[in-house]
Amino acid sequence: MSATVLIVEDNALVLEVYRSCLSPLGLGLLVARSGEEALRLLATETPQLAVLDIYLPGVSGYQVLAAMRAHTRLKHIPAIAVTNAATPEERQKLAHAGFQAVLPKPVAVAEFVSTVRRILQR
Amino acid sequence: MSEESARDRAGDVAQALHALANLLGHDTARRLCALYQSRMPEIMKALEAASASGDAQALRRAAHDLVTNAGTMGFMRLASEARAAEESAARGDAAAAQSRVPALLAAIAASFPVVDAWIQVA
Repeated sequence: MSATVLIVEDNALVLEVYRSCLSPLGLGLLVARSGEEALRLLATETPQLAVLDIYLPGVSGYQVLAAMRAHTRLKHIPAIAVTNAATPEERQKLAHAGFQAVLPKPVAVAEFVSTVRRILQR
Repeated sequence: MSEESARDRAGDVAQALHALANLLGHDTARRLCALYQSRMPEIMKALEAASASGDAQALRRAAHDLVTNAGTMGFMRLASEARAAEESAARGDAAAAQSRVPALLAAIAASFPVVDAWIQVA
């Protein structure tokens, strides 16, 4: 599997889990510790998938996705939302915002890997 | 903490580490253990300080950090107890959240020797 994944996550432990799951799949990783850093990276990079923590201090995952959807180069990139508040209402809101999948936090490793694989193989 | 409860907790932690190593390999599991252990003292301090001041928002943040870190490791009992404190604090019920802090601190402290022992034999 050859693709680059943007990961936006401010928790070091969660980030390490993502790295450990995705690197063995042969995926390149772009890592941002905040929404602001993600927007800076997206100014020059075009990943094939974005994994966005939703509730970040400052620029949120929602805002990062909105910026992507407003940009010709980035608008078709699929995105996975990772959230502490995976209620039915929140899931609906995330789907409406344009996320292809929603994963509740704490992230279950096996579900995370299968979701990334499924979306990249579409 | 009762002896039975301590034994159940230790079992929960050991089982989670075993599952983590099966999914991500022993080296990664060891790295995650090191990150967990390096992050916990800061979370314990934050819980203690927030509890002492009765600041519901600070309690919510500290408990939330614990939910994420313990949950990502797969320590679901600890994560679930932290979630209860987070939810109390989010409702503005600082007293209920405060009442859970001593048990959370004891549970975090009890996880360290189990993690240490697992690292040594893994």
